[in-house]
Amino acid sequence: MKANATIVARGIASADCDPAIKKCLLALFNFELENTNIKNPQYKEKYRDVIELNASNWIEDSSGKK
Amino acid sequence: MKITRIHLENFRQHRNLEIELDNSRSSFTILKGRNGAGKTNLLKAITWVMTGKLAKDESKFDLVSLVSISAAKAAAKGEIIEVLVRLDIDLGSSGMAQIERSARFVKSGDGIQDLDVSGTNLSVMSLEDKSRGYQKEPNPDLWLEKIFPDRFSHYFLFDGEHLHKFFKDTEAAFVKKAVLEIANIDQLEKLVEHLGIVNQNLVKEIGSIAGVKGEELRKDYEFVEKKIESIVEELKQKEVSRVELDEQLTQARDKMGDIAAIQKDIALRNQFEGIAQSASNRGQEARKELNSWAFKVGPALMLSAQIGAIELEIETARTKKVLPPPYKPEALEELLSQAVCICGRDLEPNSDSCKHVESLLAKFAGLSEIGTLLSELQQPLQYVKARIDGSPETLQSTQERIKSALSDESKAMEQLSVIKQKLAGHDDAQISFIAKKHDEAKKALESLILQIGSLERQLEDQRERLALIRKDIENEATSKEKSREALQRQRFAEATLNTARGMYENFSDQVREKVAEELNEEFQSMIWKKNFFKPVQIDDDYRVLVSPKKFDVEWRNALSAGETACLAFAFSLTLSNVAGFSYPMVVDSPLGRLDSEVKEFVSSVLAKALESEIDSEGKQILLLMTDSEYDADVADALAHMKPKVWEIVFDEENAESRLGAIK
Repeated sequence: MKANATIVARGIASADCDPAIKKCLLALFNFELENTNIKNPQYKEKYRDVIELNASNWIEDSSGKK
Repeated sequence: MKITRIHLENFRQHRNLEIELDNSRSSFTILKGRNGAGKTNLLKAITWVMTGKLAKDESKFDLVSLVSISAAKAAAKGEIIEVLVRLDIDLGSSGMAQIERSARFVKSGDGIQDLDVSGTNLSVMSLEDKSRGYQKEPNPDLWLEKIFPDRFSHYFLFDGEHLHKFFKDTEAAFVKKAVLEIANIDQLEKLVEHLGIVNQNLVKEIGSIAGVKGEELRKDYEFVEKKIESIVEELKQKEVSRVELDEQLTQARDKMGDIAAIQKDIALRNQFEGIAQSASNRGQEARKELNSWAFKVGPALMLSAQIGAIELEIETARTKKVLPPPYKPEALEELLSQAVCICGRDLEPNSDSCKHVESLLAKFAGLSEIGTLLSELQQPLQYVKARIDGSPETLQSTQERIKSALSDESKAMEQLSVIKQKLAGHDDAQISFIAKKHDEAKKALESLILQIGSLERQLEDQRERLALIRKDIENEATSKEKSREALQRQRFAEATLNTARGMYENFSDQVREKVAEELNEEFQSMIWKKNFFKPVQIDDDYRVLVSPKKFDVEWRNALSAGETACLAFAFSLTLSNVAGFSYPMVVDSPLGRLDSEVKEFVSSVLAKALESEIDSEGKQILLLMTDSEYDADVADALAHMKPKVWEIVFDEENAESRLGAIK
């Protein structure tokens, strides 16, 4: 196995989950990759923005899953 | 990735050192030198330029300590001294790079310690496209972290003397970091952590817009959240203490094991002292006998020539008839007076027989004094002669006994000397002190485990409480139109968090198992006990476990020094394999703690590692060894790998190290 970042990225892309969640996770993961060594990243704002952007496309069922 | 050139300026004893390393597929360099020649400082220089630390556990240090003494001495007041380490590296298909870390100092006084730090710098020049030439990296720290993750560093740049610490429980956190670094699972871990915090913020946000009750609930939520934070913090500290105590206990247990060994040695010492004493007694006894024999027989032996002469004289006297007959004249006179012959017959007075005896008496009446004396000497001479005749056997047997006693004594003394050496420095007080420490650590650990259990229960209670408050907040929000949107956002965040958490657990388990599998393959290929150990495991706590097949117990602490070295080297290779990057391995004293017979074996393992076909780039190994490490056997074991051997020597006069002739 030659592991690298694509394993996680590919894992997220091929995950069997709601497309909105998938999109959100990929965006957040890329953000983490880009900011890997930055101290005190302003992740709270970024996360909130990404969540807000994708939450509207998410339809919740009674169990909390799509 | 390979280092092609190492350049040092004013770094400790390296005033100006440049080493060219080859970047062939199997790049193997040996730098040998005596203790204090500067090998360890070369490793520290490489670690410093790559990580900013001098070693894994040397992140905080006085920068002034880096400055070469001779440079500090030579500099005039006000002069600037620059400590600089530069590595040229070959990144294979990704090009080349030059990494340089430096620190500048101003000499503020006349003393060599009068140095003020005026600045530090890290710069990276990378060459990805030859037509564009070297480009300065705008963020060298980030570039370096990507190319050589700090978490990996101590598995590639390490001191062989510390190999035994590689897989202690206290190191599990480092193993975890190194393993999770692979495949960027650590980034996913960070994502989960950040998402959790943002999710909690979203819950509070809902509360604050869900009316008065919602606001109250938000405050409750925040209160419980803080309480949870404080419990988690306390738990972290307790966990650190638990690991430390566990380590102390293991050390104390190891020492207790030593104590048992010491006690065994003491019993052996007593036994050999007894054997030596008994042999010494036997020797003394035999020597006494020899002395007494020599006292008795010695004079006789010394007189044996004279005794022969006396015998000859007696014989001559007899022939010349100057010696009396075997019967004393007084006895013959007595017989004569009683008229009895020597043969017992009666002697007739005036008979021929009687006259013969009388004539004999008359003949010997004038015997000389010497003749009488000689006659008296005959009996003691016979006694002495008998002694002399039996003496060679006595002498030989006594000598044999002395020899055997001496040999027994010498053997026992030899054993005794070994044991005494092992026992040197131990005393009863020390042993009882260790036992006391062991008991204290055990009690403290038991108490800590109880405290951790109680904290974990509290944490669970608080988390349940938090979940209930969150439910109340959600209920409150559902009834308010304006907070419904926020609720939708929070639920989405929570669903995303759960998905991410599931992925993290899944990926980290996969990578952990994969690393363990590869580690096992590497380790098994290195050791000779192919069927003795179960497959190497990395457990949920990221402890590397090696157990023997026959016993269901952890055997890690019982690995030999050679096997521990193999496990450490195997781990380094595995990280390279799994991560898909080939990092240069720089090891100081790789064979330092190994017995001579294991040295050769580990050397061949290293050579084999170099041959490993893990990727197209091949491996690079730089070993820093003392002369005693790089002995003839080790040189033989490594010869077929054609290492480039340099010698590093310390010039005492100038307090500087320099490279000697290439061998």
